[in-house]
Amino acid sequence: MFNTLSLRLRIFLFFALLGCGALAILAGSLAFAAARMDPAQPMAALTTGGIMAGFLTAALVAGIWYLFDENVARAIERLSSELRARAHADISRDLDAAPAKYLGDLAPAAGELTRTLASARSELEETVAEQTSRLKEQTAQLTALLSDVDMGLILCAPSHQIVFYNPTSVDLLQDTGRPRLDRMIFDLLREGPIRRTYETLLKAETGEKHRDVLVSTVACGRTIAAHMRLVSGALGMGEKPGYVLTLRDVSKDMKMHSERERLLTETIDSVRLPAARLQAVLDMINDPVGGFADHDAALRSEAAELVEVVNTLAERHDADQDTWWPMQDVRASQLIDAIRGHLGPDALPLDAPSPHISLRCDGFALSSLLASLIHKITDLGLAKALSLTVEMEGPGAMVSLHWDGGALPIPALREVLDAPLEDGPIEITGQEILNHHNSDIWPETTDSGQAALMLPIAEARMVEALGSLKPGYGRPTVFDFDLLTQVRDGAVTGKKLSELTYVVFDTETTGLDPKGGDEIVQIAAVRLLNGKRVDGEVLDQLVDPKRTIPPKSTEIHGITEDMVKGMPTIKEAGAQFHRFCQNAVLVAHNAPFDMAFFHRHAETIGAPFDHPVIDTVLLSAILFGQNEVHTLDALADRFGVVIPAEVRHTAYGDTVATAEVFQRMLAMLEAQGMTTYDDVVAAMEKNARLMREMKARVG
Amino acid sequence: MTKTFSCNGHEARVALLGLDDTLGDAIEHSLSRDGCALTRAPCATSVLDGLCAACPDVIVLESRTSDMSAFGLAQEIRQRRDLDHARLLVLQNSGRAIDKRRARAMGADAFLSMPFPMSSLRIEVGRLLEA
Repeated sequence: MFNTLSLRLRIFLFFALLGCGALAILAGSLAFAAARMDPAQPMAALTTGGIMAGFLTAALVAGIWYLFDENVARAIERLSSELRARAHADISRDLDAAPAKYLGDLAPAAGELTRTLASARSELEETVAEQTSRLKEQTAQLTALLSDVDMGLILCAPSHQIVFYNPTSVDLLQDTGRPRLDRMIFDLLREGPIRRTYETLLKAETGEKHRDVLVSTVACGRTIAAHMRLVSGALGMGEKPGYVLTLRDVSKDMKMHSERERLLTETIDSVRLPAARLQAVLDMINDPVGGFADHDAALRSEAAELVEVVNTLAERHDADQDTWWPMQDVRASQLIDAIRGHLGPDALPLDAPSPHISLRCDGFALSSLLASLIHKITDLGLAKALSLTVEMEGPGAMVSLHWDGGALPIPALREVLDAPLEDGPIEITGQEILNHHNSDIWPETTDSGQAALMLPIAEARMVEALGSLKPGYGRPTVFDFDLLTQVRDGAVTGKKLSELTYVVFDTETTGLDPKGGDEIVQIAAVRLLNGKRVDGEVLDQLVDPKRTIPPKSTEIHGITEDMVKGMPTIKEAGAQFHRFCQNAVLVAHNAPFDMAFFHRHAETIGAPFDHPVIDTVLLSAILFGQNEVHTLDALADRFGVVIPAEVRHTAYGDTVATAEVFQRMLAMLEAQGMTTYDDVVAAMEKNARLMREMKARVG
Repeated sequence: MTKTFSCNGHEARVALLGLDDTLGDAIEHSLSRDGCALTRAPCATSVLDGLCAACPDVIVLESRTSDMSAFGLAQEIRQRRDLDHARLLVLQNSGRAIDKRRARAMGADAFLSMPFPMSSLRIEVGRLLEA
């Protein structure tokens, strides 16, 4: 009944209650004093009555304050937190009006406001989405195209920090490190040649904008042929231009070349002697003076040696067979799609399951050749339907085209192999393509009696199914052109929050006591740059804790002892994480807990974890007040961040949720005037208890 | 003492296809000395009828990389019922695993890569005659 009255009437009634209550207490106390009054000592009864009135009035005021605090002050605080969260995050859920039920029309009015805000926001988003969808589509197409370029591409800012890289460069440099946005290129490629070439291009007066440079990788010593081109103008650089590096691994070419040279020299050297001996024996046989009795045995022995030398050299040559023809890693499914593309819609039915095999080959040429063979089989009326299988065989794979019907005659096969490939880059025949692949093709009859064509591929490997890759795990082209004009050196003092690089992370552990012997079993981390999560820069690593995992912990995170067997220990995984966190501010939900594990193992890992640390629990206390609930679930709920049930309590799932929450918190902090890292630290210092608590927990 | 090859009680018959060079002459000389009756013919499908008439126990076929005519001939031989009994020995001027595999797939019973000592050829022919 009470909450149907208006807020003003309710507040009036509160004060009326306070006033009436005070008067009633005074009247009661006076009556009490009058009844007990001793005419000889009236002051004693009056004093008792006064004290009683004082205590009762204080109790009444305290009671009224409690009701006021609970139903007005705290309710307003909660409501304002909710409103602020909605101002900075796109939360579609309706405002929870329950805590503010005694605030009259305030909660419904605020609800109406947030609904209007949400609807305006969604209208605006729709308009923006419409306007930008084509742009996004084009960016996606361009990104996909760059991901397919079979050459490493890295764009660096004038500060030599990476602004853009494509997946080929990741593959190319995988043994030395991983390109990451805002990291120095010198972490991957030797500094000297890159810096010298850049300086030379800067100084070049003749307008020279590009130059070739041979450079080796930092860790694995591979030789990379790089082409450096200065860029500016459209890319919006500052005074100094940045540069694009086009990378090609030439170690293999150089190794192959030197192997061939060596084989050639050895061939000449090792054939020279038996040939000379053979010549000598023949000369002796034909010598008119004679005198070489056992020339038969000598001839046989020299011929046998020559045969052996040639066979040994041939074996080495066969083992070292390689090709200069450009090859790519082509998935079996891509090869099959390409064949279907060449065949067109009117072709015979082709049954071709796609195993998760990647073939090292020229996919275009091979698909074109296989399509020509299928056309030939069709033209000869040998088959009504065809099957194509790709199976691993030794270090390579066997591509087999088979059908019910007659075998493809060798002359017909030869006709296809001798014809130039359709749409080939140069005039090249099928046989030449097979030679470049160090391969061949032949007809065979399968065990089930089908006619078949067999085409072995020398190099192949099993790969993960495309669909099983987690988001962010693909092979995206990664870029952030805002980095072109920024210098990120890991310093935090005086830096704007938006200019910092953050690594948001989470760990799963064997238990809750880092000092009592519990260990990490999984680390996940993502990077945030310029307020955006960087797709493709993800760490998700199981860790062998070298101890048992209690079943109760397994129940929470689902990680069993079998899963971590053979995984890196904290020494390797910690070092990997440390490299991932270089120059970044670490962010975690209840960071001191996770950091305690890394601090304890810093010596084993060989690197101190002295990064600036932000704890989202503390941020939540600053933003929403200490009395609120600060669990990750509560924060996610407050910001409308959905954590899918299947990834909740996995390190990766919780990391992504923390990153989403943190991104929204950054917007709130900035709106409240805390725009730099120092502001956030100062805000934390204002709350000395929070700071002490954090320091104690970080250790 | 030279071993004399025979096949099921009759004189062993060997056909040399291709090998129209000194190597062919040497093989012919060596196998004739071992008691084989030798037929020589070029490596072409036109010789098939003559080959059937000669009814060889072992056919020695020369194959060169990137030249599929020998395999065309092998495919034809394997399709002739009257040459079912003939064993096929392929001599190839390369020795990659893939060449051996291809030769087997095309119906070869034995494979030798060049160069080889004559003794190896005689061992292979002897083995095929006994099989």
